[in-house]
Amino acid sequence: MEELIETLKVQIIKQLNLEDVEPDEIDADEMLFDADGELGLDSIDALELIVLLDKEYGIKIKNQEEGKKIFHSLKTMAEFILQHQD
Amino acid sequence: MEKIYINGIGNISPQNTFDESIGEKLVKSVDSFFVCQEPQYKQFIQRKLLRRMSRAVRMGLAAAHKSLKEAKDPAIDAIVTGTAWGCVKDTEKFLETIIENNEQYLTPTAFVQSTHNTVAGQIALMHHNNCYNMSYVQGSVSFESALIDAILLFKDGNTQNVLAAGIDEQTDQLKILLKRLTCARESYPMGEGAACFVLSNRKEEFSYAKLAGVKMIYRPKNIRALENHVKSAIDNANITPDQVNLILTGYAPPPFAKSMFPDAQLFNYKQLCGEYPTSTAFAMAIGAKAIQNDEKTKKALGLKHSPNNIIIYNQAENIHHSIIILSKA
Repeated sequence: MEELIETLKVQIIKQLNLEDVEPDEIDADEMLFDADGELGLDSIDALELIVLLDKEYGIKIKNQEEGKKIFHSLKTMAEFILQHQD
Repeated sequence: MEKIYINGIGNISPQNTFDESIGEKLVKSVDSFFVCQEPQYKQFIQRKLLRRMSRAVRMGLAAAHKSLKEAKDPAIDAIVTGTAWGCVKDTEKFLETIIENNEQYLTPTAFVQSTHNTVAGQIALMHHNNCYNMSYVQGSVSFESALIDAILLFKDGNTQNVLAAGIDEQTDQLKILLKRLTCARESYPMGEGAACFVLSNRKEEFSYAKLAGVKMIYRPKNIRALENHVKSAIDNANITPDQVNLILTGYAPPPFAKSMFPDAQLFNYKQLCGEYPTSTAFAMAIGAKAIQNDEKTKKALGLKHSPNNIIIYNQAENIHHSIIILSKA
């Protein structure tokens, strides 16, 4: 789980072009889509994350409500990947 | 011709032109290319927005910010930009993604931002401005097309201030192509830049110069025809040939220079910024500063006195020719 979270941090920084953000600065429990948060991701980033899950882990997200829960934090993303990977 | 004044300039170029006037130490091209000296963008653009922006967008926004600040932040009635290459970096990015991922897993960011009107759109978004917004993509006369639109808006009578810009960025891929096509050579370096102007129908004490005329000429039949176009442009600007002190031009001297303007000084501005489709925006920025009697700019251009009238002449493969006339405000 820890290893996967660290990998996700690097992948997200690259995919979302988070300039000046180091993997160590991202808290695994931090809300990803909090407008006032450190990362402050938005709807375009959500699309980028959906593509990332599909491309890197072969997981498709079809339900919007499901997406909200999955992308709550890095930890919830990692848990979802572990549950759904073949 | 309406009276139009240049009240603010933001000029990002290969020379040190953004924070101050053109530097005393002039930068030369490296390996047939000029690359812009860019400011720290974080002072103008929020970090969250910055991460999605390519260099063309960043340069355009910073140049717009600087020009508006110089003009004391007037209310803008129109934003008109000219760019030939557009946001080419984002175009490359999404095309590369298509190839790398076998036409799957395409994300929206690069595609959305790859269009040529991204810079004008982002300027409007950043300044909460929903006025007239237009981008011109017309090869080597893209910037001139934007200027003509600005002039027409002033002629309509409902416009006081227009933000006009010329922007083109280089990318690694573009450099490879330009070299392969032998467009970029040691003796003929290519370049890039973003120059933005606040044009106004009001003369201010800080006005740099007057935009006295813009003319585009398509495939002139011969030199005589070109001369007639130039004559009509300076007639419209109410100046005589002997009142033109300086011609800013490219590597080849204009064919009409000796016959029409024997006393005017010639300066090849492209030795400072390189060749790119909207390089006349760079020439307009340094020309306006020379007219305003800026010492550093005068020195860089080899001028002893501040010119009263400047012609900026550009041509591409004898197809598109353009003239921009600047006069003292």
